[in-house]
Amino acid sequence: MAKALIAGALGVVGRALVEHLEDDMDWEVVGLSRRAPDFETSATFMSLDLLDRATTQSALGDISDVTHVFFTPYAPRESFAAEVAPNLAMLVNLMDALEPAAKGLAHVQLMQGAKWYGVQFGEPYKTPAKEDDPRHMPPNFYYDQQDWLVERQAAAQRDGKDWTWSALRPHGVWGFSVGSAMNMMTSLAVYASVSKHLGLPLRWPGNPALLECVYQIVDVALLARAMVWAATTPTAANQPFNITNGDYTRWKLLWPKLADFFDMELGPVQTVKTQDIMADKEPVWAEIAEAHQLRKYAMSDIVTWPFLDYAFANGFDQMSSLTNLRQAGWTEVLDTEATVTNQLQKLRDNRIIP
Amino acid sequence: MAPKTDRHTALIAGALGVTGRALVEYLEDKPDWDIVALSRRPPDFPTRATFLSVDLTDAADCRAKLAQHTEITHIFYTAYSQQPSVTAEIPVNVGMLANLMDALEPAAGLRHVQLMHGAKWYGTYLGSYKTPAREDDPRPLPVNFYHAQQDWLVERHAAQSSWSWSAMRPHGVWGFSTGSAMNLMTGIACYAAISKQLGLPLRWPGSAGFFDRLYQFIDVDLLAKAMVWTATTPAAANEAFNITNGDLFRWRQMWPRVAEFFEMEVAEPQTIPVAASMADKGPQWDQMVAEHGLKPYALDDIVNWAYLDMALNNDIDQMSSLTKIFKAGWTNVWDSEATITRQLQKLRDNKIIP
Repeated sequence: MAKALIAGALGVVGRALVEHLEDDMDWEVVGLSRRAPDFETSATFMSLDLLDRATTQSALGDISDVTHVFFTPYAPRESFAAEVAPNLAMLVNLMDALEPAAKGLAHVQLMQGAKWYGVQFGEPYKTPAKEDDPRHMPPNFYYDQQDWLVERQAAAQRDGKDWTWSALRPHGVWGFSVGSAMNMMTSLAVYASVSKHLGLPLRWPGNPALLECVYQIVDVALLARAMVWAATTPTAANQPFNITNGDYTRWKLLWPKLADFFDMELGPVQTVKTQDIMADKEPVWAEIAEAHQLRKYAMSDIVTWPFLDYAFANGFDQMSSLTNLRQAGWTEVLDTEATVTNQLQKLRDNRIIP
Repeated sequence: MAPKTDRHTALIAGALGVTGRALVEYLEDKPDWDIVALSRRPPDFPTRATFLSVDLTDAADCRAKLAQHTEITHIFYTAYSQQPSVTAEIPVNVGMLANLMDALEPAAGLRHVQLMHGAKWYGTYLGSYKTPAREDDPRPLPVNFYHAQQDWLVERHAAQSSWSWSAMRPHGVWGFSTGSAMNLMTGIACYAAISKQLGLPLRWPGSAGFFDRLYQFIDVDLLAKAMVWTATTPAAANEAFNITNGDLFRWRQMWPRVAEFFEMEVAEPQTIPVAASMADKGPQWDQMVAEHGLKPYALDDIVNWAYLDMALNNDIDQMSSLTKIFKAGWTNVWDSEATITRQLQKLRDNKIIP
């Protein structure tokens, strides 16, 4: 029996991994989050702030049977430089607490993303991006985390331990979460629902150039499967992998699918900062939730407008090469146009959106 | 000897084109395949395939030479007759296919007929087109012979139940051939070798815009493998499939690989009319053949410069979606950077280029 420790278990990725593993008889699941889960789960949840070293030590120091660590938390800070210390500390605190006791530890996986390649600078980067492309000028906490983990593994090997590591670099994660730092899908779904409620067409709120650029997403359920695959496949050990649905698209091809889904007219482009124009829409969302008998989430619980603004400001191709992943044996591919609608339908079925 | 039912006999029409030639080579080592190869010219390499010189535009010639070949199980149709216009190509190329089928279809053992098409299906030669292109995208105007051939074959297929069909739509086929209408690789290789001989650096001869656009290749050896896979995989029957190496690149990234291979300096792009600029280089090539002990091909035998002018001047992304073939079970992805060098090395090993 494998036992997964999922750090950041209520983020969009961690949550999907909990859902993927909790029904699998071969896995036992421990989820770490500062918050308690807002859904029914057979996973064991521990409320824990990984930045608190002492608490982390006492909470994890006695868990001896964890076999796989999936590390997905993210501590956003005001600058790239400021993100390094806390994000590295969370990983160090977790490993320092867990590793001495977890004699059966087999694998530690980091969750990274296309920010490894510099997409966050808002300017074109080399695409398709490959895992071994030269790094951008640091700081980037992904680099610090991965370098630290590689060194830690070397030290562990000297102590006779044989756990492996991996890192996944998804892009455009498409799935549900509450109160997490980055969620494009719920933000777009709420933007569309509010537009519709106000009698507006669905207007593209981003950079007009992005409509034409190549883009990619990964369905979070596929990402969860890929995480487990990378953590348990010997040929995938000790390396990073890009992961997406495995196809490419452009927003101009996806946007009409959103309009179809919400049964809305497509409006002309109108570039806005959603964090500004949506700031006063909490009461509108409450009305929508009431009218459609949605679950009682505040708009601010499920949207991350600054993340949407950041993601939609980029007027350049965003592409990750999946060649390394496929050559390691990964074979899944999902149709992104179908993914977009499927995940939105799940939101609707779960009464998160109208 | 394997039982009769396990044996396959391929009929390859256009067996000396870049694709047909690679398929002959691929099947050459497969003991359960026999090969009948059609070409107007005799092969310029040793082979166990039965080569027949048949004029596919002549129905009587087809019947006379092919009707007795009742052992054919799989037809791989890669022949192409170039004509002065897209419209003029339709009757000739459909007629060739019809002549072949009329002569062969009485063969009771026929199981599969495969057409070799390409991204021109999507109108790549016209200008801007929708990318990534998917197999079920609406057809462009004007209709070209690919559309006409497939429609013809689908109708023919509907009238019977013993054989299935497929159509491959590769793009950027990268491999060796002589005297064929479309070969990008030999063109680039000879352009580079001649530049070097003249003491020039390697300059991108296509349009500046295309240098930065997305492009795709398929190693012809991978294409041969995909052809056989598609022709023998029930889940792939009666469908058309895009096929490439499975990755994407930009010439800006690939060009230095070509320069490294030829041990040349890269200089800034210089767009030239390739056909006009290379028209007088035949004597120089002959000199290089003598100097480097190359096989005595004339430059015009291995390069169609006009094709380079067409292929290197599209200032648009060229992308085929592989989602459909991956979903049907195809799992191979080749790295294009490795492909480009591998096939150039094959040219060098075979003494085609210095």
